[in-house]
Formats: sequence, C-alpha cells, structure tokens
Amino acid sequence: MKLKLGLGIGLAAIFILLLATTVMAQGEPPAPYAGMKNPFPWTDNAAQAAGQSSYRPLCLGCHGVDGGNLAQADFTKLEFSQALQVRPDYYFWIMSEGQGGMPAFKSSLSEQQRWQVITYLSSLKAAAPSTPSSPTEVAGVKGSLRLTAPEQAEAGQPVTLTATFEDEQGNPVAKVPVKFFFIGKLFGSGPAEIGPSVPMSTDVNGEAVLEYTPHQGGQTVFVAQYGTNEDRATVNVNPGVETSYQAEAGLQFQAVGGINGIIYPKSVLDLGETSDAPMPAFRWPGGILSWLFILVATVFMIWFTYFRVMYQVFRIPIASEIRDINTRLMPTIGMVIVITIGIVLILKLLISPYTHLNIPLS
Amino acid sequence: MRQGVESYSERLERVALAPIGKTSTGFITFILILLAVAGWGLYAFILQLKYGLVATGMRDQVMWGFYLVNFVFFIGISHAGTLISAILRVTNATWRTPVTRMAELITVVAISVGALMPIIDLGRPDRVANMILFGRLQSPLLWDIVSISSYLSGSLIYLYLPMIPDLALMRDKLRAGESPIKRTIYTLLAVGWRDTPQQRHRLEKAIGIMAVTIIPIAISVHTVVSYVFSMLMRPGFDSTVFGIYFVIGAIFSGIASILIVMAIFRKLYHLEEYITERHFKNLSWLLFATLAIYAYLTFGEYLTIGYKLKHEEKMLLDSLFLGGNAIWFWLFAIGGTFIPAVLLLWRRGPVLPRILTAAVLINIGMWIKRFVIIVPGLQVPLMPYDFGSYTATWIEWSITAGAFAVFILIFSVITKLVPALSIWEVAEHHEAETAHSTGAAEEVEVAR
Repeated sequence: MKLKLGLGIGLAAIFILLLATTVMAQGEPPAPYAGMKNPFPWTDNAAQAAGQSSYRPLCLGCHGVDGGNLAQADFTKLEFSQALQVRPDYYFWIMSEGQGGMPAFKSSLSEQQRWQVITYLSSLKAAAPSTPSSPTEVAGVKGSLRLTAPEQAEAGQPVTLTATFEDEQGNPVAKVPVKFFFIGKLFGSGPAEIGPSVPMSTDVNGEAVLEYTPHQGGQTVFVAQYGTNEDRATVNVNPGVETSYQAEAGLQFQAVGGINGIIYPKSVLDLGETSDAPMPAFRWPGGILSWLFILVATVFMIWFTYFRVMYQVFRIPIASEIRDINTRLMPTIGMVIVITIGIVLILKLLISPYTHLNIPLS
Repeated sequence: MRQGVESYSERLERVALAPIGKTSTGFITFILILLAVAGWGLYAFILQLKYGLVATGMRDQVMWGFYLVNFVFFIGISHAGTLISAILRVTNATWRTPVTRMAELITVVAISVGALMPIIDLGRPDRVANMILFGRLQSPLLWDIVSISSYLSGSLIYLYLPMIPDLALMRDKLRAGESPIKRTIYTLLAVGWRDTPQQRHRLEKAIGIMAVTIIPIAISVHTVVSYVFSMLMRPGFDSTVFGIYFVIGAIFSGIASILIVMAIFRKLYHLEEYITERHFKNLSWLLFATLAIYAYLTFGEYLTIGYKLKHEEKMLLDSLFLGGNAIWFWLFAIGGTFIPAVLLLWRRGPVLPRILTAAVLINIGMWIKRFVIIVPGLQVPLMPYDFGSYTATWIEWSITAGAFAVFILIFSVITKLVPALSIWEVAEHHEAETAHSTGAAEEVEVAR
C-alpha cells in the first residue's frame, strides 16, 4: 500500500518535473503554479510586514533594499507592480523554483511566506518616494528654497551646499529647519538624508550651509527641503582615489618612505576580468612588510632560543671524557635540526607574499 | 638521617626503573590490542585515500567533522605539559615534581597525533607540501604550521632536558650483559652527564629558559587553532573571545588528562609513595578553577550571541539548545561541566574515584564541546539553502579510534624506555623537604 503510494507520488513528481521543464521554456508557470492567486489582499499591511521580514535576510543581499540592484527586477517600477498583480502565479513560480542565478525558495519559505513576500514587493512601488517628503515637517512659512552647490567636485573632498530660504517678498528668513538629501546609489537607489540628525536652521541671511564629502563619483543630485519646498542641485563628482562602500578592509595610513599599503606588485590583487581582490586587512605603514617583520622576528626569537638551549646541552659533556662514543653527537644533531627548521620557517614567511604570483613580477 | 635519605633515593630508583625494559604478557597483549585498533584505523585511512573524502560524512556545507574535532582535542590536551611542568616550575610549586615527566610526555605525544589530523582531513594529503611552497602569510593555516611546529620542537626539547640526568642514571645502571646498542643509545642521550655542579648549572639554566619560552608558545598555539575558526564569518565561529576560550579549554582538558594518566601509572607502576592523594587534590583544585573559567566563558559566549540574536545565529542557537544538536550541547553542559563541578566540590567519599570520574567526564565533555563548536556552526546555511547535515561514517569512527590507540600506544612504549618519574627532581625535592623538616620527620624516615 505504502509502496504504491510512494510510487504514485514519485511518478507525479517526475511528471511535474517534466511538465515544468517543458513549460519553463515558454515562460509560463507550470501546473502546480499556473493560475494561483495571492491569498492576501494586495494592501494587507500585516502580510506586507511579514513579507518584508522574509525579504530582508533572503532577498536583500542580491536585490537590494527595493530591487534597485538588478535592473530587470526593479521592484520600484510601476510596470513591475502592475505585472505582479496581473500575473502573480508567474512570480510565485519564479520565487519557488528559482531562475537563472536565483535559487529556489520553496524549501526555505512556506507557501504563505512566499505570498507575503510577493505582497510586500507590490507595496514597494507605493512606498518608495520619488521625491523626498517629510510628513512631520509642516510648512509654516511660505516662501521659496534655493540650493546652490558647485558644479564640479572631487570624491573625498568636501562640497559646500548652501540652502537659502526667502519669503514671498524676497527677504531671507532665519530659523527655518532645512533637511539635506542626496540621491545616489548606495545599497539601493533613493534619497538618503545627509547632515546632522537634527535639521539645520537657516541663519539671519536665510542660509543653511552643509559641508558634505561625497565618496562616490558620478552625477550626484543633492536636495534641500523644508516642508513642501525643495530645490535640487546636480554636482558632477570626479571619482577620486578615495571611495567608500566597496569591498575593502583595513585602515588607510599615510605612506611611509614611499611604501604605501602593499610592497608586492599591485597585480597580485587582480582576480581576473571580473573583479579585484580586497586589499589585505590591517594595512600598516609599510604594508605587509610590517606584519612580516613582526612574524619573522618572533619566529627568529623562538628558534634562536631553542638553539641557545641546545648549545647549553652541547656544553654539558666534559671534553676530556669523550672517548669511544662522542657524547656531543646528540646535541649537535639537535642544533642542526633547530637551525634547519628555523631557516625553513623564516624563508617560508619571507617568500610567502611572492608565492602566489602567477603573474610576472612587474 | 644519611642512611634514611640514601635508602629513600635507592628505593626511588628501584621503583621508578622497575618497569623499564620489562614486559609482562599483560603488557604485550595490551600493545597488540592497540596495534590492532591502530591497524584498523590505518585500513580505514587507506580506504579513504582510495575512494576520496566521499567515504566520510563531510560534504559541501559541513566540510569539517571528526578529524578537526580530534585535532582541537589533541592539541588541547597537549597543554597539560605546559601547565603542570612549565607554569608550576616558573611559579616554583615543588609538589609538581612526580608528575612533570608524564605531563611533558602527554604534550609531545598529543601534539604529534593532533598534528596528523588536518593531514588526514585532506583529500590529497600528498599536497601538504604546498603549504610550505605556496602558503600565504594571510592564511590562518600557515600560522598553524608555524606555531605547531615551534610548539612540537619546543616541547620535545623540554621533555628531553630534565630527562638527561635520568638517562645518565640508566646508562650507569646497565648490567654487563645488556646489548651494546642499548649502551650506545643511552650514552649518546645522556650527553656525558656526571652530575658536576657546572653541568647541573648549565642544565638548570637551559630548563629555566625553556620553561619560560614554552608558555607563550603554548598559548599562541591554541589561539592560532581558534583563529582557524574565528577568522570566518560563520555563526558561532565569528567571535572575538575564541582565542582565550580555546586556551582555557585546552588547559582544562589537559589537567583532566594528566589526572587520568597519573592514576593509571600510579596503579600499574606502583608509584603510590610518590604520587600521593595530595597531588590529586592539588590538581583537582586547578581543574575546578579552569572549569569555572571555562563555564563562565561559555556562558558569556552564548549570552552575547543570544542577546543580539542575528538571524543565522538564532538558527544556530535553536539547533544547539532545542534542535538536532541539543543532545550534544546538553551532554557537554551537564555531563562535562555541571556533574564534574559537583564531584570536585562535594568532598565526601573516596578522593580518587571522585576526582577521576570528574576527569573522565570532563575529557568526554570537552571532546563533545569541540564537536558542538565545529559542526553546528557549519550546518547553518549562509545562503538560502537547507541546513547542512553531518553523520560520521564508520571510516571516521575507525580513524578516530586508531588515533586514540596510537596515542596510548606511543605513550605506553615510551614509559618502558624512560622512567615515568623525573627521578633526580623527586630526589632533590625530597632532600629539600627533609632538610627543612623537624627531627621527628627524620625519625620516620629512618624507621622506614
């Protein structure tokens, strides 16, 4: 009985798999998924919140906060949200079975959880603001806000952003709280607030000045905002040497004696066409040489101590007594072994930065 | 008085040298059994070489298993020698003298067996030379090689130095009929020791240097062993406290091991006069102190994980406290710490069985604890996949059994070649004690 049941389930599974592979080619969800409907209303807040808590650990790593990391699946686009509501079964199927580089989630998320994530995705369109808005700020003073910024800037160098607020008669207004944002790609895309956590207030000239250091190159849009008033300024930031928010570890120290970071060729950090290796952690002045020096000095001290101890043993025998058996043989062998292992270890450490050069030394 | 001291040192020599070179049928049977187990382990290893690591329970996600557990365990008990011998020597605790030799022996044999384990863990052990040829400074495995080779060499020297006067004694005690090879070996090893004041000064200076040197090296070894884990971002491994946690764990299981070894040799080689209940009691207090520190560190480790409760770490704690690994965790927590703590504190009943039961439980518990550290951490998925699983195959059980057999085997054979007590140090300690003691004690000495 059980055997028959198992066989039946197995056959059904194979059938579904076959069906899945044939249907997959057409871009249509296969049998168990075709025609499925979202059990949650699209505006169900509880389902969206539950979906978000599943989304964060599992999806955010690749898709980003709102899908902005992958152009073909930008959840903030209106078209995506519409497509999601028209064909929920299709997206449910992709999420369950995986597609391309995306793994299948049917084993890590229950069916209900997957639908919650889909409900959450549909809410991203509505939730992502196209312009910064701050509901807590109420425009108390009528007037106009103007943001001035230099056209050109250098990454790593501070940029002065000046927001000026004038009332309808053109007089500067003081003590107006102004918030600054910049719109750029960090982990996702969207406005990110910059400056102090308490909004800056304009001075008697109606100006609020913020010094901000951009860390990324490219066209950067800055926004100053007061209530419903806002103004934008675009700054062209040259990508400088110093960038942030990328795979890099270590503290950056000033170069000492012309040696900065690494002493071996920079080509060793090349991983091929795709990407660079992260810089070694704990960059000290003089780079890896500093670590090498400490390690080699420690190893030298240890093995030199061993050698000294063996030499003490070597001097134990009374020379005049040595006749048929050379009692100094053992300590001599000991000293030779200690010197050999010590030298091998130190050489090993010294050449280790160079042992992975499959690229010519240049 | 003079008569008494002489009879004491004579008896000491007779008792300590009695097992040397003599093999009873019981001993030979014991060695044969150990050889059989070791041979079975070797057979399993050959099968593993032939079929590859697929013969083990290790797979993509859980890629470390019993071998790494054994590695950490053996390197751990190797700390016995460092603590008992080096630290107690530096702090001038004179009661240590009868147990130093055994402790140093445990150290040397345990590191040798332990260092084999990562090599057995390799699918292609023939490539181990690449660690020397292509190892990188940035790799914790390279740090392991540097520190373990330094520790092994250092503890060999440290085992050898205090043995020189005893080797000289054995050279002098050799009977006329003994084989010339034996005479040559003992003469070579004894490096012409005549116990002159100058020789004694040289030797004591050398031992002093080694005792101080070996302590930081021992600490570095277990710290570096912990780095193999804590340099990873895995849940459970990603910890800053691992260095000291592993060092304390090592000293903890090291003391438990030396207690077991002491009890066995005391019984088999009739050393009751030299290894007294006092030694067991003193060591048991040290054992309890390290148990308390270890339990405290364990508590702190899981508290900091559990308080923050990151997503992956929640999975880990679920699995450790309630899920699939709960049985191992609670076996360690209750069987390996709580019950031994009660046994060590509850001063009722016979001393030796009480302390020994605690020591055996602690060693089993600490083996399990290493398993609890290594395997569950690897089971937690970092990508959206299912939990990894690990079940040791009979190959891994066999190799583990073989490793323990080899450990006991080397240990037993060495104690038939050199005395298990440091004879000259025990005699020296005794002289110093009788010199301080009152006439009444001397009377007792003479009466013996």
